Amino acid sequence: MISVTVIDDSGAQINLPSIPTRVLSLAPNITEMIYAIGGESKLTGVSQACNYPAEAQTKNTVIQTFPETDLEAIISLNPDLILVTDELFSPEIIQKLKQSGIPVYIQKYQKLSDITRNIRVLGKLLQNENKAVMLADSLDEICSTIMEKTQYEIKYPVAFLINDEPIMIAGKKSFIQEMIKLAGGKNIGTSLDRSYPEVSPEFLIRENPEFILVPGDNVQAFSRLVSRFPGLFYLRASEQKHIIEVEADLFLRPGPRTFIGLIKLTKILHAGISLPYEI
Amino acid sequence: MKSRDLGIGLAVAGGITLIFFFSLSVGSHESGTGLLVNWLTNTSLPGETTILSLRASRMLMAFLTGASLSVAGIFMQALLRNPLADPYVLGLSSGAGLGANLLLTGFYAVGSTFWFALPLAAFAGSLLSALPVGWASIKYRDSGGYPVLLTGMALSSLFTAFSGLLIYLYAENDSLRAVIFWTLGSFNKSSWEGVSIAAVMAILITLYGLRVSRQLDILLLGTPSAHALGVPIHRIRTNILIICALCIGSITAFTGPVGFIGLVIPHFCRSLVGISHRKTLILAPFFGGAYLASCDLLNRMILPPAGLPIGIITALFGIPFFIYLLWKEKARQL
Repeated sequence: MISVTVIDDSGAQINLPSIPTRVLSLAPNITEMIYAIGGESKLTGVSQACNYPAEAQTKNTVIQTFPETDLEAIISLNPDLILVTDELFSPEIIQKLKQSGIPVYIQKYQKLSDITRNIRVLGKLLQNENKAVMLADSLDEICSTIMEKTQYEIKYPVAFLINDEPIMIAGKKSFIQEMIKLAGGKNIGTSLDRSYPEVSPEFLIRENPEFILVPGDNVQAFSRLVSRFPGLFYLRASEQKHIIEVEADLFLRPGPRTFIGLIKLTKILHAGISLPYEI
Repeated sequence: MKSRDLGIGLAVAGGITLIFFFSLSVGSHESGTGLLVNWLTNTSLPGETTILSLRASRMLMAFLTGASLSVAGIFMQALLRNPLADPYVLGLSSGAGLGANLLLTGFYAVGSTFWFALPLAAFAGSLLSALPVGWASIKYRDSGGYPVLLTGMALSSLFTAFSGLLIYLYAENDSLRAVIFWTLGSFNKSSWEGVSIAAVMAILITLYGLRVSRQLDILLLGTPSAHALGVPIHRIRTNILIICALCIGSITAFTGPVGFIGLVIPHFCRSLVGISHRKTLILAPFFGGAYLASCDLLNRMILPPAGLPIGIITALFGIPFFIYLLWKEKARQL
């Protein structure tokens, strides 16, 4: 038995009397990372949103966290560690879980480096350190390689169109901002101090993006937008046929696959660059 | 008459026992008497006591909220001499909501450090609504309460709009989740701190009601008669508004806005025991508590595991009833 004290992203001290073996991951990106570092044998429950990999839902108990968190189901699983992200849970629910004597580790994701940092943290917590460090190192390397390759390329204006009604794009505080920048583009939402701000059609015309990315679960977003505002048909991205469908999870869920999204994005923006990655 | 009252009392007591029993037996962990029996015989498995405590705090919170809201409803109706008055309709709940949301967005750290900061902020918000409503109830004291009701409703919309503005402005911060969850209203996150505050409030508001029950009866005769009979109207009015704001504010801080209890329950109580405030004030807290606790129980049983936010459920029952009362009231006046 080893007793470990760790400090989570909310600054709270967490005492783990032994290596956790009954872990509850209540955020889809954390579940994904646990599988990526080979820690799934220690998982015992996931939330209904944890749909990748698919076996996460079949091999673990699935817990409802929305619209209300099923506290009873969580406690009856008798977990020895609960992993959550700060943005998915209200502080009262986290407080209640802590009061019931279960260690709750809160993770925060605000920039790309938080992903690799938290992969290393998970490796320590779940005793899968070697694999976690290897994964995190290789993901960090993808970042630095891409940054190096794209730094002298033309920075095309890019829009990530989340939704068409209301018109929402990725803003300054989203991960996508950082991804577009690394991939050698310029996010047109970079001046908007939010994650996913609402914008007007005029804004799109003024910024005139060279590329418009639409998430796969909302492919028709741009064509619907054009049918409402026909003028948008003359945006550069539309004229150049640069309306590109991307897989939503690769851009909207901070996890290992975010870096696949980064590689894909780089290939989209700069087809001429050769990258040492096969995707 | 006495034996009828006794019968009602026994029926309510029986109902409450049943509701408590089922509330402790139903849940996603295991539905049935197992948990309860294990606890009573001291053979609980690890975790079982925690689950029982979750269910108990949730049930008690619902009960105490229902009790306080019902008594506050009686107060409001006596004050305005209008059966449509209720802390939710008069904007006390959304005032409390605005107070709580302001704290959650502007002073998040304070709110999460001091547990009493949130109830205090909600109380202050409640007063924001109670003061203009109180002023209007003096100025328009002989107009059947409608100007006051409409003042309350308008304020309620205004405060809801402000809360919406806060959500919009701070939509990206840590506190967003807290605000949204708070705005929906729920018993799922009831804590024992919340339960103990709610218990103090429920007892306080009921005892005060019983103390002034005679004066409330006289208030129904109208202001001139009340003056003539020596009822200190202004003092009672002020006290009632402050106590309601305190109660509704601090309970709403823990549960979020729950509407229309103060409308439905007093009406039913009066139809059972008549308009005597003493009797309705004894019956209403138990009846209201049982009503809200059973709403929450049904909610959890029909939509397991955790149900919908309770404010949705009480509105579904309460708003049709509100419209019914409104039309009946109008017909009586014509």
